[in-house]
Amino acid sequence: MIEAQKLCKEFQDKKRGKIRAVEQVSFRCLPGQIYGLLGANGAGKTTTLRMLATILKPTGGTALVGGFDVVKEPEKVRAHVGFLSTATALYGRLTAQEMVEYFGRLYGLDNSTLKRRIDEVFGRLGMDEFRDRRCDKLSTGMKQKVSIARTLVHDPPVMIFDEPTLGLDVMTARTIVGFIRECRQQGKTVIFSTHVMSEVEKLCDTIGIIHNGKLLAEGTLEELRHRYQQPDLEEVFVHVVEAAA
Amino acid sequence: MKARNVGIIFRKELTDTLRDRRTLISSILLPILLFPLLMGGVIGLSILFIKRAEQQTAPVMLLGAENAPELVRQIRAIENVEVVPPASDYVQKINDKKIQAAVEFAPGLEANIEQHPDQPQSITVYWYEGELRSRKTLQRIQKAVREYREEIVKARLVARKLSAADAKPFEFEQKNVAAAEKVTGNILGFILPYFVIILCLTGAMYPAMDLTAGEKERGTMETIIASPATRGEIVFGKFLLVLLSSVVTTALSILSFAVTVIVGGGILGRFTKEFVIQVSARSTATVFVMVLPLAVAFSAALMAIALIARNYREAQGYIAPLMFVVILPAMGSFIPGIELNATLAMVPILNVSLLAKEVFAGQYPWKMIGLIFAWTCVYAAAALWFAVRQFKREEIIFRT
Amino acid sequence: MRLHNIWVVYRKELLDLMRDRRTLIGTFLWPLVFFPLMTVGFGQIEKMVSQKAAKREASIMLLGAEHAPELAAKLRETEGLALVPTADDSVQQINNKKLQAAVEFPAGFQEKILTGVEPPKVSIYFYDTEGRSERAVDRIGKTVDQYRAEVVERRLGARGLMTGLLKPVDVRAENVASAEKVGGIMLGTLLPYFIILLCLMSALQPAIDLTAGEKERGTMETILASSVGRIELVLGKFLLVLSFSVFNTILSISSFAVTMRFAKDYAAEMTRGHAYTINPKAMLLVFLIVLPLAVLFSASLLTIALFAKSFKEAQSYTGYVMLAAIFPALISILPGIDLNAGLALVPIINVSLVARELFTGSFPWGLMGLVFASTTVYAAAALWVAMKMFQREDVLFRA
Repeated sequence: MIEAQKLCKEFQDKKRGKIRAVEQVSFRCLPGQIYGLLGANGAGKTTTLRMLATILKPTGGTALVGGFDVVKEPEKVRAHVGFLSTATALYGRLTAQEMVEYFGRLYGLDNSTLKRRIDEVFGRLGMDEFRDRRCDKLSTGMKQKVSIARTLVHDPPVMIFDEPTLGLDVMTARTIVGFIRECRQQGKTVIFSTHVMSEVEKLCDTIGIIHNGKLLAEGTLEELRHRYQQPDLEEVFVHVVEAAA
Repeated sequence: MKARNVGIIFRKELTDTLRDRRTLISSILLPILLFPLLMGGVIGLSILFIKRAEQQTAPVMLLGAENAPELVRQIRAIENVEVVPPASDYVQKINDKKIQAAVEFAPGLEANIEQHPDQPQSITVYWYEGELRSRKTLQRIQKAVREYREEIVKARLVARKLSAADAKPFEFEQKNVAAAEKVTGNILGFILPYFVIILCLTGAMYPAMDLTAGEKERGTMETIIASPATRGEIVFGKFLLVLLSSVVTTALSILSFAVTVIVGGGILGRFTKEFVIQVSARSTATVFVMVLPLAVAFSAALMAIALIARNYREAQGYIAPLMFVVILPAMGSFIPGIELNATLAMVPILNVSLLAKEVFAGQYPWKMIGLIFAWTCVYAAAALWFAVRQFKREEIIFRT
Repeated sequence: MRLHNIWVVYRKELLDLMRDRRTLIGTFLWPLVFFPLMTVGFGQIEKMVSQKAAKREASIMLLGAEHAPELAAKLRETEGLALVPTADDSVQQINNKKLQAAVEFPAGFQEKILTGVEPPKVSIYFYDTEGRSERAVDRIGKTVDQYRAEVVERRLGARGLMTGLLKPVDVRAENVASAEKVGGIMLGTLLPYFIILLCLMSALQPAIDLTAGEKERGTMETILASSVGRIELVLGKFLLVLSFSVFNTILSISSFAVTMRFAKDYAAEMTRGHAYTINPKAMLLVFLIVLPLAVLFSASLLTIALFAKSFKEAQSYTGYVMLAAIFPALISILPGIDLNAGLALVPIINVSLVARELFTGSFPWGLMGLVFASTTVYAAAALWVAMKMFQREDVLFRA
């Protein structure tokens, strides 16, 4: 489960002064559910997700992820989370297998468990043919699969994705979407951010619209369409954002 | 902080670095092999040129040769000296290196030697100060004159029934009583401390930049930050690799340098007959132990600074000036006559340089050793603390 | 090929590079600071150290002083020598640097030197390569020499003879080379080396920035898709690299000239104490001769850096080039090597040697022409290669 409690993040910018990237964001995501964080570039999606993954420290509020407090027990949080973002690249000179093994070990898996998990994940994602190929020699789709394998190797109960299909072609994006669905089926708690409306419509149980660091609207697709009297999600989004301006 | 995680991270960084073949070759292998070869080549050529210059014939002009026929005969007999006809423009010719020297005999020189034995006479040799061949020629002429003089003196003594002892009542000679090890050590202690310190620094530079700014550039920094490893574990894992690189580079470079010098054989004239190159194992080990905390300090400091950069290029911009901050105190070993005291023992880098100089020469001032070791450890610890702190700062890790 | 476009490219690259603080420091600060710092810094330290060394007293031990009371007394009085009590462990003490030297007099010394036929021998024990010990030996040697001359005078005097007997003729060496030539020997050797080195190094950074740097930032494709021709592009970039290199060289030479003028005493070590001033004619000629070399360097570095995909890679490639260029420059420093028609054709070495000649006030016009011509040929070839490379897709789009 993920429970964000009045999360705040302030930055000090040399030229622009104090910036509030995330302001008082609270929401909840239950196991077996997918939460979609929808917003434009710079809205605060990435910052929020980073706080949940304990990469950034909140300047106010806190969050419970997988039952642990991000501020007080960040290591335990990280051990129970699989995090994927556009900035989590691969080590070019390691092979696909070595890449996943590295993180598996850091997650504390012993050798036999690690081997088992890698075989499972690689098999499921269809990665066996490029197991021993160096990461810098893989195509974009293959690279994304390796990244996913990395996030999965320790079978975390919580999955956090930041724009997972950015820049991917249609076929690879479909694989990713299918994979996210599987996570939900397995009872994991999933949150992902995007600005692709169709993905949100297809996948999410709950949708949160974030703009200028604030969570402006939250609910299921039906609830949002009804509340704002708009035919589809894109119209809802535009309406909500413009109203807040 | 779990040692296990530090180990995992270190192992991965090691594998990764060893696979970066191209940069390994150019930043590590090449300097280790090339510089000794370069130095060896240059020194070898240098000796070749000097020998060649010695063998070339040196044109010499004699002015007033009629005043000293005997001496002139001896000068003509000097090997490689070619006497050219006298002319008035000898100064110009010397300047233009057309002749190496001009010898002037005052009128009636030999006649005076014969008839006025109490009066010392002199001849003037005009030369080009500082020029290699001119100097060699001057030395040869001086030698010929010395021989001539000794013969005359001998004749005079005999004529007056004096003995050689009247001319030279006693002799004195200089004898070196320092152990071969100490003599070698003195010479080594001059340049080696500087090299060791610089190598320590350069050996750490590349991996320090690659593992921090390089990671940011490649986008893999966030990946490792999101893992369960703590910042401290990440820093130590990387730091250990940087330290290893520094130590290995230094050791290999010194080794290849030593091999070049030994193989080069009689490079420095001293190392031919009397002196055996003997490096004391004890002093080498002591210096190694002294330099280790310095390597730690360098590795940690370089990492902390490189981390500020957004990419490799920027990291270079921060680190390159650092080289000079280190080079100057490292040169401490070049300055003769500086002595260690409690104050200098506190100055980082300089203290190690001066101490290494003494240790190489076989001196073991244990109090100083302890003091400097302690101070360097303090600086190393401070650098490590600084590096860990840097890694915890979000604005540095995520600088874009 | 439109000149206007070359100029447009040049201006933009200049503006871009000038906004990079690191480049500014490298180009402006470094050459201005280097020479003064080097001469003044080292000169100052040298002075301090030698002053200190001159003042210090050396500890020496006399063994068997009773055999040579006169000489022992003279040594006692010698300035800079401090006698320590006799002990058995003189060798040990010398090794430990507690004692700088020990002088041993054989038995019967005093008697033998005044009337004897077989000269006795005095031994001076010291620590070879150790500065203080060697200086002590110098001082002892002087005193002993003086004493010996006195003894000779006495012996001869006893027979009614003068010491002039023993010194029939001696050599007086007089330097007739002009101050420029003497001062120029060391300076004229080191200076060209530094100038060439700085010329090369200052072309390095802009060359990398304008090629591999562009590729890395993703702007190479943008400019290639514009209406600028490939040749115009390469010439614009090349001219910028050349500008930097030339400007830097001018700054270096000027900085050096100024240092020589105002910090003469510090530079005395390098000029052997002669008043050395750089002939402005020589400076101008050196600059003219280095110019084609700068073209050669700029074009070559530009080409090599173009092959790299990233800044890091460019660094390692150009690193090789630097090493290859430093080697000939180093050779030209060696003593005994002189410019001749053959060497005038070897790149880099020829410029270095010709510069040396110029700095020592000689003007070998024929050889200078040869050096200039050959370097220009090499430079033109390098530039042609650069232009060719910029047209190859496999080089521009290496991924």
